[in-house]
Amino acid sequence: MGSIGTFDGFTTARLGIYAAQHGLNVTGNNISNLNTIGYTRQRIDQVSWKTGGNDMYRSPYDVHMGSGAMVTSVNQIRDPYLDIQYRTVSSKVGYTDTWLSGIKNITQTLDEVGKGDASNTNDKGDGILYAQLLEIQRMLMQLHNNPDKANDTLVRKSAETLCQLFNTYAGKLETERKDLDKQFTEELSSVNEILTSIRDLNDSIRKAEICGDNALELRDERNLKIDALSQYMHIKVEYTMEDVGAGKQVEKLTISLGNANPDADVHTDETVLIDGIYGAQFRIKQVPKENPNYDPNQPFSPTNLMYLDENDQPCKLADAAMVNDPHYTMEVTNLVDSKNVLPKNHNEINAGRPITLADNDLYGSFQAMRELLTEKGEFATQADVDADPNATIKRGFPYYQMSLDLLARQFAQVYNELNQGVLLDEEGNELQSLTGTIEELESYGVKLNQAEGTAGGFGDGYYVKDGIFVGTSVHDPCDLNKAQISVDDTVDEAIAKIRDKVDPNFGKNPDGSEASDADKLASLKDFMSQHGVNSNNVDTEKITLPGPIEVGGPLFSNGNYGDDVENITASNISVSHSWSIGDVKVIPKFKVLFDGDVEDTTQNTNIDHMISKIEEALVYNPQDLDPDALSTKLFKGSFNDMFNDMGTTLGGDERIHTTNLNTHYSQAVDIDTRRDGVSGVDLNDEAMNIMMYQKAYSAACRMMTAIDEALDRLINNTGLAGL
Amino acid sequence: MIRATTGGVLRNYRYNLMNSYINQNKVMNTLLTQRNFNSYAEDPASAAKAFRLRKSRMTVQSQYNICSDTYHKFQSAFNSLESVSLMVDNDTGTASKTLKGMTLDMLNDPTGDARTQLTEALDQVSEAIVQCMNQKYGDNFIFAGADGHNVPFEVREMEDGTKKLYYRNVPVDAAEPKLKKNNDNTEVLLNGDYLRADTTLVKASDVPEITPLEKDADGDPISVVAVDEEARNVYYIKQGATGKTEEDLIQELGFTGPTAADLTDAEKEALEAEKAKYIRTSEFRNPLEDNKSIYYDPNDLVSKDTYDATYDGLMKDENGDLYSVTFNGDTCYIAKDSADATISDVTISQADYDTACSDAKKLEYLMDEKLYLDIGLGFQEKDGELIASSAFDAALIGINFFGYGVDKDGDPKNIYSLVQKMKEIAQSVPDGEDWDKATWDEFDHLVGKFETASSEFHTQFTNMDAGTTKLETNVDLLKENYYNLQEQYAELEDIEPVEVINNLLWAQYAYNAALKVGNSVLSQSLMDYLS
Repeated sequence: MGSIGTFDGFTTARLGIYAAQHGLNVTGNNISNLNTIGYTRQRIDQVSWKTGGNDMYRSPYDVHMGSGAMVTSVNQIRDPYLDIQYRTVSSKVGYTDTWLSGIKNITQTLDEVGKGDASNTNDKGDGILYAQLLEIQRMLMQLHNNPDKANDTLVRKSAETLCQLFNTYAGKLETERKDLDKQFTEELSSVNEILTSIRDLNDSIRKAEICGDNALELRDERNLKIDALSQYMHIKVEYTMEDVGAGKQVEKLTISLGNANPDADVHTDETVLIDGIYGAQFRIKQVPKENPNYDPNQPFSPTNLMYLDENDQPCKLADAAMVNDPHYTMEVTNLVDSKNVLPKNHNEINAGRPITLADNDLYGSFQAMRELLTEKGEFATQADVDADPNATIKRGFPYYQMSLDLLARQFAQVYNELNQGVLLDEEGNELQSLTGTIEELESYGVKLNQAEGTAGGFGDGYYVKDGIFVGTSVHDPCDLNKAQISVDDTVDEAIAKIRDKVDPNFGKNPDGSEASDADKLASLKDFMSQHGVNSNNVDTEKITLPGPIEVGGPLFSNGNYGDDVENITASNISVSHSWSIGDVKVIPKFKVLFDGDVEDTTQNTNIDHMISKIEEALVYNPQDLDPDALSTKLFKGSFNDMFNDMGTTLGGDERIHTTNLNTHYSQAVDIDTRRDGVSGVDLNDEAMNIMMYQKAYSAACRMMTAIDEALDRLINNTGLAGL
Repeated sequence: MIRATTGGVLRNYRYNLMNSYINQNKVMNTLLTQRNFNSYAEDPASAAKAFRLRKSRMTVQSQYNICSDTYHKFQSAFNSLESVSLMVDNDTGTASKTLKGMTLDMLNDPTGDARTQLTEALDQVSEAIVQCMNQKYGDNFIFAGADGHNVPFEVREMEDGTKKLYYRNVPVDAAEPKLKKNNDNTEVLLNGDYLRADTTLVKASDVPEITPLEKDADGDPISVVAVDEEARNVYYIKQGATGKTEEDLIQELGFTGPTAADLTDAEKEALEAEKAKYIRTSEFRNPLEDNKSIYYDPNDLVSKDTYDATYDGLMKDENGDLYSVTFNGDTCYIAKDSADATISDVTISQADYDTACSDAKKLEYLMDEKLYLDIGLGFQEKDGELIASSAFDAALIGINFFGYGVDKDGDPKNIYSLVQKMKEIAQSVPDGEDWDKATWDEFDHLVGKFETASSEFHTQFTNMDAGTTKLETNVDLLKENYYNLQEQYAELEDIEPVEVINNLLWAQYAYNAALKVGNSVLSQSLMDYLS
């Protein structure tokens, strides 16, 4: 039998007290952190302790026993599998939630269900833009029924309201898109902050581990950061052991993108973001600022260069200002530590260079924002589809903006075309000529402008068509013996034309010297008068216009300051300047009956066309807006149907994302609850622990008392026989 | 779940409580808005359908307004036409105040006692009819077809005092004049003018050849009267014929004469025998001396009767020459239809022909003019042209009721023009005199045509009435359609209050229950039993 230490029992009891005390402390810590977000339940690791080693000459009869309990560490209770599950579903929640949020922002503008007053009823819900499209029809029908100036004005006012609604809707969508763009930049900073935090936490945990500390609280904080990161993107989290020398190994955390790209050949979706104490950052790819006015069909010139510099002036590539890639292409920088030092195995990680991510490498709220900002649905180009095979079915802000633009452009085009044409005779053949006074010609829709304030300085009273002065029936209009004096000509330019075509001595004195300016102007006016262009008789004299006689003009333009019909969008559609000032009106018909001998003042065949166009099923071709678009048919239907379809598409998208979000969120709650079932603090559990450690503590104390009493017997009351 | 932790239980509770609250809020919103859905996302199919129904309702509303307006226009037209009907031909009213009644009165007024008064009344009533046809509805003239801003009918007084009716600046009697055409379809021309189709031509070869006659300064044939004849026939002198005096005959017989008194009996007898070969006339002409009988060879004279029998039925120019034209390669003369017929009755200048054709073409165009309206019949276009059956033609063409153009006899078909023509005929008969038969017949003929025009007017009136009925039916249909559509989208959009209130109560009940659960979810734990 081996020797027994006199005071061994005290040590054993003391260790028991220590262990119970630790247990109570950890329990207290758990209870304290009951409501701490991200806190992982801790527990002590205690082992039965035995002192001494094996005796070389140990007697087989010797009995060794433990020396009490030893608390070796405090650990967290965590299930890594649940973490993986949670973070996977978290990225889905982030993706769908962000999509849904973006869709709801679009919905606020485009979803008109329940909005707008109802005509002639007390309920609501006729829509706003939807109803205005019909209001145009109503006004056209009214104009058709009674084609007078008042009704023409009503149509124009109605069109103005429609344009304003288009502008407002486009403006709201653009504002929302810009807000999202701003949010994306902010979220990018947040993601980079998270990555930096995780990297720094790794560093701290690593140092703590080297010193023997588990750094549980730091791990909790890191887990929270990783959970947060998982909402932004799908990630893969790995824990490996890292040799820090002297046989010491510490845990190393590696976070990489979670292989989200469905294309198996793409590996940028596995880019490492965190490798222990090294971390990368995200950034938007920078590209040279393109010159939107660059014309590839024209030779290079100082004004026709491909790029713009910082001052928005055309420049070459070398001088171009760098801006965010419009496709929001993301780059991952090199991994560096907190001192900006590259890892030793730098070349083994991410091939040692910044990574440009493919379009589908990310999945999560980050990707959702990218998609909301870039996806064009049916307006996708081949380049978009190459980047993402599903590009044609993903519809973000650009899709809805372009759809609205296409609707506005189609509307403008249809009515601009209908309101322009050439005059026809009663049989529908092109009119060969038409004679009438200015007033009569204008009543047919012929646009004759007064030459007020013209460059030529001819003064008021002259009428011009297509920039050329209009003559009377005496001579062909716009002819002037082929001199073609334009309203834009100065007096000298006009005289030069006459000298070239008619009389080389025109505007000269008899001696061949140049006449005075006043004489030249007088001569010019005389010349024009001789050729039927007279500022004094335009109201009474009849003018014969040769065919084809173009009438009408665009009703809609890309701004109210002019009549430019190019590139009309929802944001710039406007009633044309000419219509707004009355130079152009709605052309009721193109036929002139029997050279004007027979009038048909209430005939409105052209307005018939306009009315029927409201109901006509038109094809909305994305290529009309973007020639590179792959699809040629977005929708076929009336204007209202097109807008309704946008709402339906939007509603369908919102519905899908809502359902997905509910599903994913429910899964996330479920997994989080399960994770909480492992890692969370439970009061019943902790109450049990309190009782358990309290009893253990009491028992250890009682043990000490028992030993004390025993030793007291041995020391003070042993061997006293006979004393 | 292995462990149900405090945090886990709370998370679950929060999640479910939030769901319960969201659900209650959703139902509450449904109740407050009284709508089954408030966004496309809630029910995309129904939302899209509801918009389509609302669109249809708004369109129907516009169509209803137009249809109703057009119906009222047609009603006004009906009223005007009814007034016109009363003036044209009234079966129930006072017949004598109608055009028809007055024309019959005139026919049956052989002594012409009241013809002048009736003629004036006829004129006034026809003017009143024109005024009726110029009625307006709102700002537009009803019967102006597609020219609602201008007065459709206008009576213009011609230079000869006659009145002509114009419809939208086109004479209502305009018709393409029928021209005489050669077999190769080319027009028969006379001095550049066209010959009318009903012109009777007589081949020159069928007319006996008559030597040209001597004419006086006025271009009239010089006539002589045969003496010693009871009939004292009149003859025209052929060109070149000079006639002979008695002295000329004596000289020709070789007698010494020089006068008859100087002749022997035998010579006298021979002279008388010679005279018998000639026609003795009492007229003289230069260079022959006056007051001497002139003996003409019968071959040098043409009897007036013979001449008239040959040429009177043919048109002659101011020189008395026959008008001749080439017809199918033959030279032809132009036959006269009546004694007072002139060349202008059978010819028409190219300019007039072009104008008449143009006017006729205009009338044809105006007759076929359409003014389509969308009253809910579809209003669709095909190849840029409106499908006629998908729209309502609201054009009321005045001449459609009133008649236009001319009939096969060349008489006007327009009521006003017929009345004017009858008026002219009546005025041609002196006041108080009896009709001559020809005039009466002509008047009677026109009365018959007037009755035809009147009948046509009633037919068109009835047709328009059918159009009015169609509009009336359509107005009712659109009204019903409007309410149906409203009902349909209301069914889609509007809540069923009982169901929604029930849902809300249930949601509130569930939420309250969830709150109660929350009150006790963490109420007890082992901690509470530690002592």
